[in-house]
Amino acid sequence: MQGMQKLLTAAVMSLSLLLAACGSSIDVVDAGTYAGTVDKAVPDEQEIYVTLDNGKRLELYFTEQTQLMRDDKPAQFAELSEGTPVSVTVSREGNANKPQKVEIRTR
Amino acid sequence: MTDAGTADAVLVTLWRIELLHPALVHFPVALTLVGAAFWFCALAARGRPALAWLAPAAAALMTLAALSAWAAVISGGWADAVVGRHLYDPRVVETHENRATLLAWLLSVTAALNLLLRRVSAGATLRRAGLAAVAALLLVCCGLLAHVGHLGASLVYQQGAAVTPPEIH
Repeated sequence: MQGMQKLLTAAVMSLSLLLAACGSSIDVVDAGTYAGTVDKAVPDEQEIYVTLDNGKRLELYFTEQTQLMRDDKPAQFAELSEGTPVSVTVSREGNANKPQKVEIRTR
Repeated sequence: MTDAGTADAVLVTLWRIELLHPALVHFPVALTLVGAAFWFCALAARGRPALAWLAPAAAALMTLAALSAWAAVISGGWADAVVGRHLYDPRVVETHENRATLLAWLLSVTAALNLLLRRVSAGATLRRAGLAAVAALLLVCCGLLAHVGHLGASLVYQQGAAVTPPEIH
């Protein structure tokens, strides 16, 4: 019986640690403009993940309204890749952020 | 609806790539739970020849659970590509994905360790430690399975994921 109690305790503690270690990696922010860096771009889904300078990580799906700019000129999605510094203007719908404007910052 | 023609017009096909995930995902749910139940019953029934079939049955179920978990993870990625951008709270799907992938790895390790224990002769102490590890891993897998399943259900029943094609929203 003691062995079973130890086993259950170990299982519950392991599960708690595992869940704590792999929490959600997506954040939601209020509408506004934020500086950050692209950490993943998914061209097939027109989607980027941006780590903001404040440490939060956003998942942004481009829409028909999203403007992508570089030096005040329209840019192509292919110009976005891991490490690209960007400034993103987002709205908030529910607990999702929608990109209104993504500006590629020149270093 | 006033006539059958109008009703037919609004019904959408079930042959959609995002619906492969809900079709597959119940296999790891059932196989993991039944496999774990068989494994613990086999452990309790050691020394009873009439119930000797439980252990190989549990090993087979656990292996199938791991394989079907990976099928669910892969098909989940396809579903996310279709419905991800329409969700009210994308954090839930991200957590669901991360933890489902962790579960698939844990099920794979558990099934492999169990097969190893069945195939390789080990000393009594090592064997006891191996059995304790499989038991703990199975309990963790069942707990994680419930959590991942709850997140998946919340995507469907709270956010309507894949209930209707995105273009209808």
